Amino acid sequence: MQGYMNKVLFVNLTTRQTSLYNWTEEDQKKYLGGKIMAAKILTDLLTPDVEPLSEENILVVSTGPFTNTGAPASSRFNVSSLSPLTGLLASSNCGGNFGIMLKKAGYDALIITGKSEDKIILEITENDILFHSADDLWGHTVDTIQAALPKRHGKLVIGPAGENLVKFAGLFSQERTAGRGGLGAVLGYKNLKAITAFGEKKTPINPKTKEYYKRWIQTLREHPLTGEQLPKFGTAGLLSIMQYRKILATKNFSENTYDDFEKVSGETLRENHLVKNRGCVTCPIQCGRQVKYKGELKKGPELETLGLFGPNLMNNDLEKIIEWNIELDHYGMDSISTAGVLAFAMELNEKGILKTDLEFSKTDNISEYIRKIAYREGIGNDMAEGVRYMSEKYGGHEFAIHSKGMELSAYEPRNAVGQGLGYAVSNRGGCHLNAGYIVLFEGLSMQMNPRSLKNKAELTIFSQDLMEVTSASGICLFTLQSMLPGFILEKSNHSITKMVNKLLTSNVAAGSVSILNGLKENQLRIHIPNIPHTKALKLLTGHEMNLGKYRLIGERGYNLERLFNIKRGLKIEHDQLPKRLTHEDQEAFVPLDKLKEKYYKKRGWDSDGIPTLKTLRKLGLE
Amino acid sequence: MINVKFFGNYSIIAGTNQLSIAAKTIKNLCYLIELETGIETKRLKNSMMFLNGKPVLKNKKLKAGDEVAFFSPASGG
Repeated sequence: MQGYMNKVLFVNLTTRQTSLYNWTEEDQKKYLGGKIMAAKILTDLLTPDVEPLSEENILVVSTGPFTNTGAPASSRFNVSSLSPLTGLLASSNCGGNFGIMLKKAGYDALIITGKSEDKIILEITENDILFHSADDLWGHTVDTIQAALPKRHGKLVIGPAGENLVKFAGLFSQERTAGRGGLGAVLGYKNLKAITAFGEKKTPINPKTKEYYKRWIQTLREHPLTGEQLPKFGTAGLLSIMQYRKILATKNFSENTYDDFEKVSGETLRENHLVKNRGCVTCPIQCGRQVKYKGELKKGPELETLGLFGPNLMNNDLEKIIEWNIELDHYGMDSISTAGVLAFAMELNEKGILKTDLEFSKTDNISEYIRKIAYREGIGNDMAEGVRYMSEKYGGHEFAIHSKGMELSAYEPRNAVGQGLGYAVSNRGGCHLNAGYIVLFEGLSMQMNPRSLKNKAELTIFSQDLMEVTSASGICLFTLQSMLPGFILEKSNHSITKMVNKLLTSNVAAGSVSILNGLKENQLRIHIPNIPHTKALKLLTGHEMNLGKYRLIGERGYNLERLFNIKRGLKIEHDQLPKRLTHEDQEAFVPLDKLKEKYYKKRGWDSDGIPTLKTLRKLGLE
Repeated sequence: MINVKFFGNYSIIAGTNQLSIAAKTIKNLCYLIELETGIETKRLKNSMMFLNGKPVLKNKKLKAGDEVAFFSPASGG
């Protein structure tokens, strides 16, 4: 099919045998690519008893049909595997150039299993699959290993944290990270230090698509979020509004505002440190930050790093955050989980449960602890296992800020209860994006009542499914932000916007979203200008695509991942948040049980959170 | 005096994060900000704004020492 290279590479590291994996046109239509394709492959190949850090575990690197076709923000690729952090399916999305190069080498996806006896590097080119010794490169940091590999190749590498099996080690391509779920440790266990890909193949596309892409890029450039706020402030621009909405995780989520927030805000980052923007290849948004650090241009921190290494550690020193961000990238660790485990250890110390020299507001030893975690030294060895493990070993369950073992992102959900629901039911665990990110409606961009329960389950489902399929298409989720009309965003206090905000928590809206979520594949055969993805896919592949079909593929993906997790032993009690966020004896809390009940019902799942046969039939997953 | 704060794109257009302006109402404040910074009154009035940390959805009276914060649209992930 157009948009695809129509080849999937299977590599067994134990035997060093390679082959082509059977992935048909029907599979392409049904699962699209990226994380949904990966979920299907992992469902088919993994038995439920496989351990994340084992020879049998499989890691899938998959692109989408948009990747390497010139679509806006389409360098995205996905990495999925059994997560060492959660024990469940983890998918992590990355924006470096590896996905593009994998397609240029002739492959839509790469499936890796087995375990190499020696430390190796895997090289994929148009004509060869080669295994090189990594003996001399083992121990290298992410920046030095990338510099040591061929310049023109796309690279996907791990740092020392991945080698040392840190449960939240990431994979890195250029300056971007597949950070969540500890998938870097999966590569580390398999003794695979890096994968490189190179080729000059073109992805076949319908020529008409390019004209459509041009208009799409223009739309993104004219939109207030993708054309103005994100290029000017990056994701860091959210920190201030989070403060005013009282959703800024502070002091290990015990508070939601931070007096010194302006010292670590996106505005301050821009004013005092920003040198230029630098985003992913093919992206017209360019949300990445380049800052000057010790005379060199370096990647600046994103919102999550600012929030979780700033207010959540009670730290107001932005330069320190820039420094730690660089260190995390060198060692190859997820900043969200690292900050989460640091904040948890600080509170354990404050409460006298586990004595360390980690204290809120104390910054002079953070670099040392980041290193200790990456190399598993001393208490760093426990911290490298994540917050859930730490709470099981030392206590503090009620303030162990994770869901399904994954540390939460920087949005404190007591004043954004839909986001709280999303964190709890997310297939990945405590991830803001897989949660559905309806905090966007609950205060960041819109002013939907953040504590109302109405339409939260419905909107979460709609958003999760739409993000699922968009991720699978190989394009950045930020392209979905043009879904919100610029008029509504810029005129927050206009009577029409106020009416929309009010309407969002009405029975009418909940009913309408619910109807949308329940539609079958052949319904809603339309395209809408605010979601150009569907028409672009239709032009690109030459096959039918419309809004209904697109949404349904997302729903299929979300359910497929859920089924995978259920086979791994997931129960409704794992769809959980720490008591700190849900207990009712406080001004604001996430009424999780009520929200979950509604969510399961609206998802077409039974009261045990298992998709019903009717739902599976609708999705072709029975 | 009213302590005015600008966030997001407003901080760039205004060329500052903060202003002190004497004003009696939100509406009056927006007009005075336009004179000072060039940001249109209509645009400011329709913005996401907060009075002393609480969302403001309509014109309100102001008193000395109040803080009014203006936000341009923001998102991320």
